[in-house]
Amino acid sequence: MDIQRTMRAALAASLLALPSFGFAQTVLTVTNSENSATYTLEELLAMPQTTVVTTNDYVDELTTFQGPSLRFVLEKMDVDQNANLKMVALNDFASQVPAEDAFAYDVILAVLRNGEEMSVREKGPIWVIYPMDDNPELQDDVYNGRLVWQLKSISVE
Amino acid sequence: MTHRSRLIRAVFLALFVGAVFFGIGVIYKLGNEVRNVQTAEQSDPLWIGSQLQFELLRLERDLGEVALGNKPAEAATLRFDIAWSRINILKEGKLSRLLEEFQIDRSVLADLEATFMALEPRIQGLTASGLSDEMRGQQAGTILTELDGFDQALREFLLALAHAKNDAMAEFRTGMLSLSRAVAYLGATILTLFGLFVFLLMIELKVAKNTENEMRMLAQEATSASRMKMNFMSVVSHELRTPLTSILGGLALLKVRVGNTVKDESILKLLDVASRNGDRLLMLVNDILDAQALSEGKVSIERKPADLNEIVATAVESCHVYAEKLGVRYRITTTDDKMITLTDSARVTQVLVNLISNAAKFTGSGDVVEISVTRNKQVARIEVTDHGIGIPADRQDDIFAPFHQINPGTTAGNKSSGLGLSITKQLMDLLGGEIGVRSVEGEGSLFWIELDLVPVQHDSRTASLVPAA
Repeated sequence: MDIQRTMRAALAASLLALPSFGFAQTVLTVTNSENSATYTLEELLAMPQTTVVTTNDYVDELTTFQGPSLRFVLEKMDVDQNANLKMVALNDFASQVPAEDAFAYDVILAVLRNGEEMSVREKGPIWVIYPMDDNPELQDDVYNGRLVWQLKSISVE
Repeated sequence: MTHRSRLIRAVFLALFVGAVFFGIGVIYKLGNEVRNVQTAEQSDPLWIGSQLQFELLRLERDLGEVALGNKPAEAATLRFDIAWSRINILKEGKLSRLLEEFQIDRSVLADLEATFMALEPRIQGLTASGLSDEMRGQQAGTILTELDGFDQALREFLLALAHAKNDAMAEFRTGMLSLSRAVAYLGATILTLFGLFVFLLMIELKVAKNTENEMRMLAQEATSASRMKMNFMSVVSHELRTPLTSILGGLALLKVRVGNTVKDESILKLLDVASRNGDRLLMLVNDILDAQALSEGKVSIERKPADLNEIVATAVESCHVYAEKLGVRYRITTTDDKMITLTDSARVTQVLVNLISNAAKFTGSGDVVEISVTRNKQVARIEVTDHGIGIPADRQDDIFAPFHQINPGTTAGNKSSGLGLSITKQLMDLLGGEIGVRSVEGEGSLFWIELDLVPVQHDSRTASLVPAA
C-alpha cells in the first residue's frame, strides 16, 4: 500500500508539474503489479478504435463516443479478467471497476465525443464509457459510478 | 340455476374483475414509485452538486498555495478546469433535468460560470513566463477575492437541493404508505371474495345434497311402492286361488252329478263355460304368483339328472287336452338316445308347457305344432314350431318382457296374463339355459331352448330332424 501511495503521489505530482494539457503529453497511466505504461492522446487515438453510440445520465442526447476499448488496453498489459481496476480521475476521485466489465462489454476509453476531443472542462480528456443503450442491464446505478470522467490512471489490483 | 343465484354470480364476477384491475393498478403504481425513487437516488444529485463546492474549495486552496509560491501556477489552471467541468456536469443530462424538476434556483451556477469566463485569461496569465513570483502571488490573490461569496451561495444551492431531495423521498414514502394501504385493501378484498366464494360453494353443495336426498327418497318411495304393489298382488292372488279351487272343484262335481240327470244341453254348456273361465282365471293367478316369486328370487332350483325326451313327452301330454279343445295336434321328434341333463325337471316342464300351449294358442285350428329334440355336441336343443300369426321382427326382442303381448286384440278369445314368456325367460336364466325365438310374421314362430347335457360316452344320433317352419 505504501508503495502504491507514494507511486500515486509521485504520479499526481508529475501530472501537476506538467504544463497545461496539450498533445504529446501523457494523459493515461496504466499500472499493474510489475510495470506501468503511459499513453499520450495520439497514442490512444492510434489504437484500434471502438465507437459506442449511447446516452447516459450525463449527456443530453444520443452521443457518439470513440476511443480504444478498455479490453484492448488491458490485454496489452496482460490483465486477468478477474482483476479489479482502480480508475482514478484528475481530481483524485477513484472508482473500483471489475476488469470483467471490459471483457463482457465494449467498454471504451472515449477520447472523442461526437468526433471531437474533450477538454478537461467537458469531462475529458478520457471518459470511461459503457454501451448502456445496447445493454439495458448496464443502466444501473452501479455502472453509473463506473463512468469515470477525466480519467488519468488505471491501476490493476 | 335460479335468477337470484345468477345475479349473485354476476356480482361476484364484477367484484373479481374489479379486484383484478385494482391489483393491476396497485402494481403499476408501485412500479412508478420505484422508478421515481430510482431517479432521486441514482447519480445522487446532492453528491454531484457537493463536488462542485469541493472543487471550488480546492481551487481556492491551490490559488492560495500559488500565491504563497508553494505550488506552480499549472496546479491552479488544472483545478480551474476541473471546477469548470463540475459546473458543466450540473448543466447537462439528468442532473440538469432534476434541478429543473426540483425547481432549484440555478442562478449561482450561471454567476459562477460568468465569473469563470471573466477569470479565464487571468488564470492563464498565471502560467505566463517572465512573471515574477510576487506578481503571480498578487494576481492569485485578486482572483481569490473574485471567488469570494460563491462558497456561501453554493452552500445555499446545495441546501435547496438537499431539501428538494428530501421532499422527493418524503413524497415517495407517502406514496409507499398509501400503496401499502392499497395493498392491504386489495388483500382484504381478495380475502372477502374468497370467503364469499367458499360460502357460495357451501350453499351450492347443500342444495346439491338436498336434491340428492330428495332423489333418493323418491327412488325409495318408488321401490317401496312397487314392492307394496307386488305384495298386494301376491296377497290378492293367494286369496283368489283358495276360493277359485273350491269353485272349480264344485263345478266339476256338479257337472258329474247333473250330467246324467239333466237333459238340457244349455245347462251343461253353461257349466262348461264357467269351468273354462275358472281354469283361465286360475292360470292367471298362478302366473302372477310365479312372476312374483321369480322377481323376489324365491324360486329355488333342484337339480337332478333327467331325460329331456321324457320331459318333453310329459309336457306335451299335459297340454293335450287344451290342444284338443283348440283342434291342434302335436308332432314330437325325439332322439333315440337318452338326453340326460342335470336340471330341475319340474321347471323345464313348466317352460315347455308354456311354449307348447302358446304355440297351440297362436296356431290355426287343425294345424300341427312340431316339437323336436336335437343334440349338438354337449347341448340339447328343443324347438317348438307353430304356423300361427308370427311376431314382427322389430318386436321379437320385447316378447320376453313382463306383461307383453303381441297384438292382444286378436287373441281376445285366448286371453292370458302376458306373463308367460317373461316367466319362461326368467326360469331359463335360473336354470342356466338359453331361450330364443325365430319368427316370420304371418308364417309362424319357432321358439327354442338350449340346455347343457351331462357328458355320455356315445353320442350317435338317430333322430330324424324335422325342419323348422
